Amino acid sequence: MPNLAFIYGKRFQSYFIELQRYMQFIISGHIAVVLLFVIGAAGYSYSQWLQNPPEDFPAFLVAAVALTLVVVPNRPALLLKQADHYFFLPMEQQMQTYLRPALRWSELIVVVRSLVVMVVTIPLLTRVGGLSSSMVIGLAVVVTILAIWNVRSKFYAFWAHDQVSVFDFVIRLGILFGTFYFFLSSNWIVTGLLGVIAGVYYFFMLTKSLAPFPFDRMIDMEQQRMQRFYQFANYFTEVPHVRSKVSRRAWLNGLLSKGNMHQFLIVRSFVRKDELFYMWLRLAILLVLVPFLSFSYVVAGLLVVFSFAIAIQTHQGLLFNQIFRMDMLYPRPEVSKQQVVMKLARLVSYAPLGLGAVVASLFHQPVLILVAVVAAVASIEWYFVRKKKQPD
Amino acid sequence: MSLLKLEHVTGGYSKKAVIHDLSFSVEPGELVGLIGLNGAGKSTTIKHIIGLLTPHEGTISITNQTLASAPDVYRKSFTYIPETPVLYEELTLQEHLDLMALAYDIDEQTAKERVDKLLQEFRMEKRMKWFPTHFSKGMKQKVMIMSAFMANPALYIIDEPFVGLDPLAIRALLAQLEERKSKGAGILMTTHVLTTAEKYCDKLILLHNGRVRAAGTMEDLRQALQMPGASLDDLYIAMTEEVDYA
Repeated sequence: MPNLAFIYGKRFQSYFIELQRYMQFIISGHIAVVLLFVIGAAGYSYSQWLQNPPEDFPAFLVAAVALTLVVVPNRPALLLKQADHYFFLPMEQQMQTYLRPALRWSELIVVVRSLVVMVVTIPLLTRVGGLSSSMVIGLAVVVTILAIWNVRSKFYAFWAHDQVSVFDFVIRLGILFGTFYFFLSSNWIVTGLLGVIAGVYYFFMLTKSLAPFPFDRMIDMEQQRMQRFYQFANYFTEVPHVRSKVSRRAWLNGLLSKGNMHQFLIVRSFVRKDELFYMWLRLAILLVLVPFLSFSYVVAGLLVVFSFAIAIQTHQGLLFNQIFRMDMLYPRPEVSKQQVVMKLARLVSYAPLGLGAVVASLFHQPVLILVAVVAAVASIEWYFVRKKKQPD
Repeated sequence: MSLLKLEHVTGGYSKKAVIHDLSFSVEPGELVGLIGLNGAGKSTTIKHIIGLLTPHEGTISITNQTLASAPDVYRKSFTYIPETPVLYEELTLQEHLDLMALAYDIDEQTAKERVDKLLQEFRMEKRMKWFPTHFSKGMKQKVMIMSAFMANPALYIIDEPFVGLDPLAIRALLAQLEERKSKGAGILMTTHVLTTAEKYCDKLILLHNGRVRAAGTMEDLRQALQMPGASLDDLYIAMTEEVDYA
């Protein structure tokens, strides 16, 4: 008979296959090109900046903030399912055999992610901060230990308390930032003290988590974690499990005209679905801020990349939703859904592009910015021409 | 002219047929109950009628039009109430009803008159600005029912309408069905609540393993199964046992 460790193993396999399946859509074709471009541009800017950094640049502070931000939000990936509340309950005493590999996997992921960020900060720390090689190795050890500590503490804190506690978050944030910063500053007394506090906090949470395994909370946490991934993957392909959070945003009610059936639905989806609206807001703000960078070619490239990203993500986000919607049964208006989506995607990508271009032409060569605008429009229109044949 | 006519319809989700050679009709002013066990083929039949599946063989027509020949007339002639409410998370109750008015080309004044009446009957007047996430399952079902009734089509297709509804809402729904029938609408309804089906349906279709086992009025069914005076529960259980052990 399969035990809980075996069940975890099977789940891990199918989780991995699912991740791979969605990653194929996420990192494919034009997205891969865009990613390559963004990473290349960022890397080039970083290396250029490192050649002549400002005096008294707070390298340790920036690296400590970056490492804290990458470690602190991580939560355990338990792969629990809704039905486990019912089927695992009689096996509650053996839950450790399920949780042990689940926590190990969660820790591995966080450690890898944190070490990648650490590697990116190494040139900053050694060239600007003057960090020695032995300290870099020490930092890798500290990052690894704290990444594992963070996952475990969060897990036991979640086990012990009904809600994700702000207190827990602040404590972990403080310990992580303090340890990274004071370690880099070679302040061994404070680093040691923070290490002791981290250990005490961990064992305090461990003793608090003697209550029965909180299936509801843990399942809910896992579903929220997966939802975030599905929502991200949903920008690239249709994800059946995705549930988008909705906000009224009454201050935008003036935009909600009736028009035809598709227009009625699509404009409301865009304005009210958090994932879509915030994606647009983030990219639109970036489009307006990018011109303040000092490298003209990077600015021109990013104008193209961000406006193209708005267009494809808006298009995909509004066309790909649940498998069955009631409007599939309704009489069809003359204007197709595809046409309405493209019209809106053009509006929300060209408007911030125009604004970004105006700001950019104040600081950079107008001809170069004009070329970027033409390239952005051409790539967006090329994408729409390709997608035009896609059925509603 | 039949409102809904199925002629020798065979179909399913893949090449393997789930429903076989189904033929029945719904006439104006008729409430027809589609009765069957779980997996008998009720939902598959409905999916073929509303156009989500295409029959392998046979034809389905609503007001003498098929989906292929006149899609717009076909779609405008019916509304569907699914067993599990399917709502737009980003639309309020008011906007769901506005969307129906837009889709079915109903003018503002007529829509308002219909909506006011339905809101009162289903006691939802105070929830017009709510999003579905704040609704209970029963309330979501009420939104589906009100949306379907406000379009006022010739044919209603209703899948398990009583699930999750409170007794007052069930009474309001049955009153609506009676009213629509009296005005000449046709209704095809699936349900497991056999006592209600027996009381309210003019005609019953007993579906078993994707085939029509018996169809007609209660009297027709009693005669077909040779069980005079039997209730629909008795007839149904007898029919399934007879088929299963034959």
